[in-house]
Amino acid sequence: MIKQQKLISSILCFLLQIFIFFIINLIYFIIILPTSLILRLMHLDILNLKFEKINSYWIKKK
Amino acid sequence: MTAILGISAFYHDSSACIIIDGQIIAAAQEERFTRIKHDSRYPHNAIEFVIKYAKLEVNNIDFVVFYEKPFLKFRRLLKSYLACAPKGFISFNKSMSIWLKGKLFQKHLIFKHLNSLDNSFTNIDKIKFCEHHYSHAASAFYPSPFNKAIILTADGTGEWATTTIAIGEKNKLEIKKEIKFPHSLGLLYSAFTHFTGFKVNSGEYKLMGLAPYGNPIYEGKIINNLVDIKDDGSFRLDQSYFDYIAGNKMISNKFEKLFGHQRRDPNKEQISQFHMDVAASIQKVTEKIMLKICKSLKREFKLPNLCLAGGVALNCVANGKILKEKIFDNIWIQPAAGDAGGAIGAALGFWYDKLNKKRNVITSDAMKGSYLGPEYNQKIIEKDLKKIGAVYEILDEDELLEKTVEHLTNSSAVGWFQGRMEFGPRSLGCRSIIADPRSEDMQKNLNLKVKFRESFRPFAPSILEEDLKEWFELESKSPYMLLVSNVNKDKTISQNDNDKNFFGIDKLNLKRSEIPAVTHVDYSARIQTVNKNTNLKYYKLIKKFKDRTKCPVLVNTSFNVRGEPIVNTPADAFKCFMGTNLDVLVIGNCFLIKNNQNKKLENKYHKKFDLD
Repeated sequence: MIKQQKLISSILCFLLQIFIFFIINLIYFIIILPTSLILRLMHLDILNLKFEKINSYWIKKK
Repeated sequence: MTAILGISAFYHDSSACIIIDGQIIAAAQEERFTRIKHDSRYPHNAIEFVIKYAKLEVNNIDFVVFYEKPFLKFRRLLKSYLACAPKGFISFNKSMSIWLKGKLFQKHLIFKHLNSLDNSFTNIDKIKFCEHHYSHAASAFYPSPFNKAIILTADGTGEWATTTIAIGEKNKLEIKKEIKFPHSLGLLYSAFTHFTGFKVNSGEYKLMGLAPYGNPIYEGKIINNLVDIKDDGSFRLDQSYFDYIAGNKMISNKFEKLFGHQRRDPNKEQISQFHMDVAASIQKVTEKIMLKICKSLKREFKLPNLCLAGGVALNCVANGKILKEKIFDNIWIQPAAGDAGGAIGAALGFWYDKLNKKRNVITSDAMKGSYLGPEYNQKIIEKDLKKIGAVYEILDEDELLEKTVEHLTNSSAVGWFQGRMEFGPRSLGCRSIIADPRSEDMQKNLNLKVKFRESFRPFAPSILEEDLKEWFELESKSPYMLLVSNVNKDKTISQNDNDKNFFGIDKLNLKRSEIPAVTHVDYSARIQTVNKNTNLKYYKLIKKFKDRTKCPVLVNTSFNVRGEPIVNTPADAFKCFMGTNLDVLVIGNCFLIKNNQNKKLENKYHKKFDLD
């Protein structure tokens, strides 16, 4: 009985892993990748990567 | 009575601390218990220790404060992947699976762990979160002896901030401005740590130790290409030279092309003059940025006091430069400046700022010398040593000090295990390996035969506080070994023309001062001043050594071998003693000599630890 339960739980764990993997990939290809491409097309610098001709890079804490 | 448990975990250097009514009672890093260096897992053992030390049950704790905000960090990760997709797909897969499996739901995770420790702990709302850099800033300001101060924190990254400026006054602390990820002084230094073949998040201090062997010939290259520094010290990094946003690796191929070298593979390539010059260059750039920031802060806020925390505050060479420039009248640095100290900051910040409790500034030392870890009484020490099969004699304090000094003057390397373990990365005379600094061969011997680490690594001196000015060019005390300064000119040995032809590691072969074992190749030393109020036994030992030798200095290095966490228990200490070429071990009042021990207990275990 205990062996059976262990087997079932490891199968469930395995299925959960596959499910999580599937969800993560879905998020990446449906949301992250297209959004990233759109941002790039719009030349949006969401991480402030560019060097700028300003006096300071400090950001006031909100 | 209000008890607050502070926790830092899940990145590196997990730790826990407990404060009662604003007073730090105990703090410890998880690595000391699990024997896994920089252990990042949930700090089960550290939590159990601090609660037990405070004579509390989990359910007696009023608040549990975690040192960062997981949702903010998760948002930063998502935004980073958005910015760099399709790069980072593999890293996204890996990290999302970790976050979705539990890291995102840290409140429940912490609750589950605490509940399993004591099932009467049922109130999940006791668990609070505070921002990573706020924790750092609080860890630097609240234990400091200042009523009002500027607090500068800098590290790799927290949630978003990588560098922050805060103002602390009485019991309030407010972050005024920040620099956000991916622009990070800590990550810039780590990128060079990686490039020179050391481990990120642990090998940074090696890079700092390597710097004095080189010349900063790449400083211009770094400033002109990698980093844009403004007059006020704020900066941005050119991310085309790095690859850490996508989480793949620290540096890009463009970085390697810029320096004309590939990253050093520590298993295949020796450290060369090139790596020393690179180390010297990034050290100089780091100092430049820190100095610029400090000078602009002084101009802007006109306050005399500065507090420092965050991993970059462990760069004691840069700290020494800030002090030397006399930008501020007083500087206080949190001894556990890295993430471990975040546990203390989270708890203190909640007590003073959120609960609005009155703060009485403690001018002596609110960190209690950083001796906040476990201690073992004489009875337990004897029981443990007996169990292991150690051969020892029990001496009273006078005999113990006398005999230890005798062995020190005979060039013995001594394991010194007394009182409460230190919190933070430095051994401060409770879990230390000590030796005679006057010996010419001591640095090489300790590095190669005791610590089993690279020969270029310097050792630090412990000096009696009252003798500081006679031996070093340092004007303020340095109880936590976080300031570097030069040996006084009259204690140094000047070089002749022939000596000046020594390059790189060969510089080690020159005797530079009366205390060569703790004098680095640039005549500097990472100083610990010892005060009788914080560590009386260690103070007495150095005093006795001074009485015998006229030298108030001892070599003090952490009690471990390379890559191993500092010893915690008497059993850890004995294992290290038998696994290295230490000659003597002093634990409590027990005195052990290597030659008297059973040879079968010898265990050269250091090979199981990798170099940082």
